[in-house]
Amino acid sequence: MRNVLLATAALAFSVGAPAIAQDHGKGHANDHGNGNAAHGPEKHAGKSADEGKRGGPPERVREHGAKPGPQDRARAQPVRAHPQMAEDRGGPQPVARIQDRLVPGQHKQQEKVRREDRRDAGAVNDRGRHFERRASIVRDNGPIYRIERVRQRFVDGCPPGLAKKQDGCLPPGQAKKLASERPFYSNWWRRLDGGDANYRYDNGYLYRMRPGTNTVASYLPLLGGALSVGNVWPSGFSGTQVPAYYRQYYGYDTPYDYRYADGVMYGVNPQNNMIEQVAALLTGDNWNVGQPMPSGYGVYNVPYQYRSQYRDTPQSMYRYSDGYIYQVDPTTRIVQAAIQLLT
Amino acid sequence: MPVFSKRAMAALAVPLMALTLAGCGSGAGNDAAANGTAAERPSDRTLADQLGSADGLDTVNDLARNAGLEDVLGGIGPYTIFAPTDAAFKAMGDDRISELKSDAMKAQDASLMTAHIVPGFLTTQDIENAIAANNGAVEMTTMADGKLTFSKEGGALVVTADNGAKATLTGSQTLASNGAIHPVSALLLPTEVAQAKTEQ
Repeated sequence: MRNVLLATAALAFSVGAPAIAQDHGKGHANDHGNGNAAHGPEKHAGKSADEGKRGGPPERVREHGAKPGPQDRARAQPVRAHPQMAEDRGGPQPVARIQDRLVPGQHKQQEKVRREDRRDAGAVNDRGRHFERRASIVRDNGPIYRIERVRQRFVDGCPPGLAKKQDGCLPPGQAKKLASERPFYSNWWRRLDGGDANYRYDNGYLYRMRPGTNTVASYLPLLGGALSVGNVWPSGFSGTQVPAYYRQYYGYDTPYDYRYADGVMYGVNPQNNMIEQVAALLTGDNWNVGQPMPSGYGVYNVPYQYRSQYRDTPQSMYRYSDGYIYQVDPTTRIVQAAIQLLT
Repeated sequence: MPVFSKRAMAALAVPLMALTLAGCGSGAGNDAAANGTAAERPSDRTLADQLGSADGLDTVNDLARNAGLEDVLGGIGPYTIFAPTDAAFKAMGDDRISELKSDAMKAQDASLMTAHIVPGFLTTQDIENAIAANNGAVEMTTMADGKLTFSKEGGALVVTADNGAKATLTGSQTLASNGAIHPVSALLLPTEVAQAKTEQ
């Protein structure tokens, strides 16, 4: 099943605090920050009994040398975490500073590679705008914001268009019909919350049915269903604001409002709240420097263009997830650093 | 599709960068990475493009498009798709396949696809090496928050989903600019799916 990144954001950043960011190339370790990126309201999801918590990688808020736009400036300001979020985070994360791992003589070669990358990587995106996809790793001493991701599953209550009636969201007749709706496909959405609840898909939503009563207990709008290109973002369902890092990594510079929901990054037109793009799939896995790596990364999966730079050795192993490469101690499986894949 | 072709242009940069970087690393390190990069270089085409032209993967390509994953598979990624072959879908029955291609099944298609996609760029050699280094079995997370376990049975690479579904990696891998495609012999969905024709 897919988890929603409910998350939270709002991060209080402090220089020298937790988390990572590796300085690749010349060995200037970045300052590390900690906190959560600001995100939209998550009232429904936040109250769901089904939710859990997931952590995530750090976000670099401001590009070194780049002139920050209004949104960047806003993000660059420390944000006081919501009390609930602070509680979820469980306090500051450990600091990790990675020193230069390059040997003398490699610097010049690295710089050459970067210049060539920039020259060759120009491309036109789907909105006709020019952008660059760069393979090199930037070095800067800017703040790194840490994103806290929270799993969101079903939203308690009734979905848009269905009024709460009796014990559920539907009249008994309709609920019974829903309970029998396409059972063949209903377990294609993997749920981790266990229990004996039944799940049914209907008209873009997955419904969690109360056992025995066939009434709707909670709902989840789905990728390809209610969350499809051309649909208006469901009212009452809040996505998580996507930190700038993800928009930059995935190469989107459109003025959309990018949101996370249940493992997917969507581009939403802020003028009419219409979903314009299914932009990326995200694992939402919990990678934290100083803590064990999440399960499910047994195979070396570093993007091809970074393989010569980040290959497993007896001292370090590398794994990719959601726009970052993580350096991990092969013996302890403790995450040593998160490597940003931007310039 | 316009979005595809233009996103594919963006991905053209990837193999160029790869060529530039090749050979920069030292000899030490992960054999999987070294073997994977040395043995086969990615195409300059995206996963979306490759899926659309691959032999025997017409159904999964149709379902990926129906699910609205064009930008995802034509974008930066990277992702690795364990793509059920047309023969694998055939086991569900033609009626079920036709149903899955309909507008009403877009969400089902998205669920199916994400259960077959893992994060990052995995070559066959990477999987083989990981199995050897991990006592015969190794796990990867899926974009549907499940787990796939890879192992070897006889000489074959086998993938088993945490729902019990099991398939064999069959045919050749395709390395795209933004990920990899590995054809598999069955759907990695709950086992009831395999009994589609007997249900309902």
